[in-house]
Amino acid sequence: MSLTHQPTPGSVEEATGALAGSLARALRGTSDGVGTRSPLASWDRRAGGLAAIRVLGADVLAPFLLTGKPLRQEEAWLVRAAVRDHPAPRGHTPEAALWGVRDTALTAALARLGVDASGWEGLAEPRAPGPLADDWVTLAADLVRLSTAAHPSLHPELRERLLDRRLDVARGLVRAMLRRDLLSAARLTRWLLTLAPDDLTSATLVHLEIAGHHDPRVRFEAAIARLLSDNR
Amino acid sequence: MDATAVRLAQHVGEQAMDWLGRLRTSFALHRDVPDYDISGESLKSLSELALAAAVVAREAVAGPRCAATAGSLLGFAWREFDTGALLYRLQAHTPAATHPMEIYSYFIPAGYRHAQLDRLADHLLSLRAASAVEHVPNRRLAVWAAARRIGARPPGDRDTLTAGTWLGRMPEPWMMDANNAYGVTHTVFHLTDWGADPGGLPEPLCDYLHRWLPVWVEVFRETRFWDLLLEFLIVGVCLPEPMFFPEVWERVAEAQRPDGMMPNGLTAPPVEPEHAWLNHHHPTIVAVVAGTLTVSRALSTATAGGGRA
Repeated sequence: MSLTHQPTPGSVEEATGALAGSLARALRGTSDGVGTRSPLASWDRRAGGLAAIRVLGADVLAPFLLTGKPLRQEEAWLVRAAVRDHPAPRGHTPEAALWGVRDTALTAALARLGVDASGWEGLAEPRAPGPLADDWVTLAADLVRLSTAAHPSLHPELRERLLDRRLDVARGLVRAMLRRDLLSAARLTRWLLTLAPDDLTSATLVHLEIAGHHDPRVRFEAAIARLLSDNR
Repeated sequence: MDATAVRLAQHVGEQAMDWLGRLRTSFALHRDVPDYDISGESLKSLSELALAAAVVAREAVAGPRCAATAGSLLGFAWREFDTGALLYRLQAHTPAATHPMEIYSYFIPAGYRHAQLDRLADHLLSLRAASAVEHVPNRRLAVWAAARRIGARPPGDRDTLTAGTWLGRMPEPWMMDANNAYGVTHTVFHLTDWGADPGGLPEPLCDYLHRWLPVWVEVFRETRFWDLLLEFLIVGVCLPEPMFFPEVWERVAEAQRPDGMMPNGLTAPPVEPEHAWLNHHHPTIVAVVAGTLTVSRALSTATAGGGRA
């Protein structure tokens, strides 16, 4: 009997896992069937499909950003529909600040792919990220939730501010590994690769690729991390 | 480390010492069996009691009652070992064993000596066999450290022995587990002579520990593995630039039982102290050492103006 958590059929969680798996295959150049099929194709017709696109945020654009594959207009429209149907929270709450960073990364990713997202309904208001947590445990937990911005050019301001917090991020990564929280570990590996890779990140990434292979979301994060590592 | 946290560490350590003092008869060796049939566990427990008491005596930062209990327990343990004669007989009976001389070495800083055991240990440590013991690497360092305390020639050199340990290889820090953790803590204890010589820790290992000790402390705090957590707190204060974890001391103090016993975080302690002793004397001994060394290093770094909070 397996004790592995199984998402409820038809849930956003299940759709997010399936989308992550599809995107991971696209990143590794083994997309479904014919290689030209979009990893986002038909996701608006699947239960929880648009919500899954919103959950993965800028990461749904990773196959285009990291492999040079062009983003089609209908794919950009899917992202726009997901943002519209699942708007970012407003106000001055920590949640709204988090979405501010996520949507800054999404807007930057779209811009790099030639899509101007200004005026899109549902996007968070652009704003500078709040102050970083002083302690490494909280900082790492925050960065896990902001991992869609973990790319060398999607949020230069945040990246710049993290450059002298590398050890704190690495401590968060090691803690996640020891807690067997491979998804958080993969996301923090992405941050470290964005800042400055070392022997620890390369060994950790291989471990995540092997030990996290059964979880599509870990697989996807690890595939992004691998391309970030290879593209440096 | 602020004064409140230092007082907390002192309180935990002294409460733990009180408990050990009350439970001293549980540490007594069984006398109705031949020497060589005395169990290894009871020798180990008594020797660890002596070690904790010796650290309290050495650091001289305890209050009068705690200091008196430590002195009394050292004398008790030495008498249990027949003022060294039992350890001598065990060492002579099993010359290839190293634990009698290791236990003996804990008493030496407190001024207890046994001339025949000194000669025997010196002779055994000079044999080729002394460098060919089939120990795990951190245990080889334990013998090396014991030889230094005895004043004999240590078998092997520090750097080679250290390089063989888990810590010495400075592995990926997420490969830590409970077994490796005890290897790491004891490697530090032996290299620094239980905090007496922080400079005995090679600089690369200090850097490695400064990077990763906060993570291990956090993980074992979260899992409430008090025994190991307290050992890691000792490691922090064995560093030349000590690392204190004041917020962790608050959790330790909350976990300590009103009678001074420290739970191990793994087994539920029985109500009767005599029954709780079996599984909980070790974390309580570690609490004494951790509290004492924390107070001592906090005081000395406050004087010197150093340390990391």
